[in-house]
Amino acid sequence: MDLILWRHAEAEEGADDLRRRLTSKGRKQASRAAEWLLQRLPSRFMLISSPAARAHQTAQALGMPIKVDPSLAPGASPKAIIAAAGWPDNKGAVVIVGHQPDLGHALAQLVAGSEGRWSVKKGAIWWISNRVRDGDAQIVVRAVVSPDLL
Amino acid sequence: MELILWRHADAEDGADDLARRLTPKGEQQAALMASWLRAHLPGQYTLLASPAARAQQTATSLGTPITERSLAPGASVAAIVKAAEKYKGLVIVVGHQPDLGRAAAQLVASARAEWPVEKAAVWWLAGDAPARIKAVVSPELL
Repeated sequence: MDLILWRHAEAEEGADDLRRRLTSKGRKQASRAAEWLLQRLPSRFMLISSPAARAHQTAQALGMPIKVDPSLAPGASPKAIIAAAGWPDNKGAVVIVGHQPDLGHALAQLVAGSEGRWSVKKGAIWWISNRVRDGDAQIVVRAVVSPDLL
Repeated sequence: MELILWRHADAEDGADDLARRLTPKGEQQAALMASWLRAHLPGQYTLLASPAARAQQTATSLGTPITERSLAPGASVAAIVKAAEKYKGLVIVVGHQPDLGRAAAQLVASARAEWPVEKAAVWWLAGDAPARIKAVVSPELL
């Protein structure tokens, strides 16, 4: 399975955290990342977003149907993110749009089996997949890209 | 410390491991990665390569490498870090698996593990241990 964890792009400040919208820089970051993803994703994939406006707006840049999952709201545990993605048994590709430090926690757990707090920049994409090589289950980090490197 | 771990591209089979050369596909992979690196590298960096022909050839697609014998296949994490620490600024290490994957696991997660690093892939690490993964790029997803 391919799992793409995508952090929302840069957002405005605001008292109501779930309603904060992307800045114009954030909208550009989201559309560049979306373009990168669309050139590389298989034609069919699942797109799941946190209910926060900044995540949903980031996901919208892909121009595909979005499933909003309340369990991906800010503060999501690694367990919630992994369950929302259907990792590791989901067939095909799943794109999750969420928040920090939640995505970094999930990545440390998935890739390193650790409780680390990995850095994931705004608008960045982490693409991981699982495979069996010589009888061993492996997790491969296939790509990590942030808007400044796209 | 800023460190780029770059695994050699696809290579031919051969009895003499250090003499194995890149396949045409490997040459393409190396050239693709070199052009991505050129677009994103700072002006100053140091390019180190294992003495194995496939690593030398991969590195040469970017520039003239400094050959480090300690980066030959089987290099320990300590050897890789020591080679990189001799230089200031960004250091690129062109080497082998599972050596690079062990170094990444150690530097990022303080873990004794062999992380998969695909042929010709680049792992860009930043900061002192625990290092941050700044970018991972491979030819398939470039």
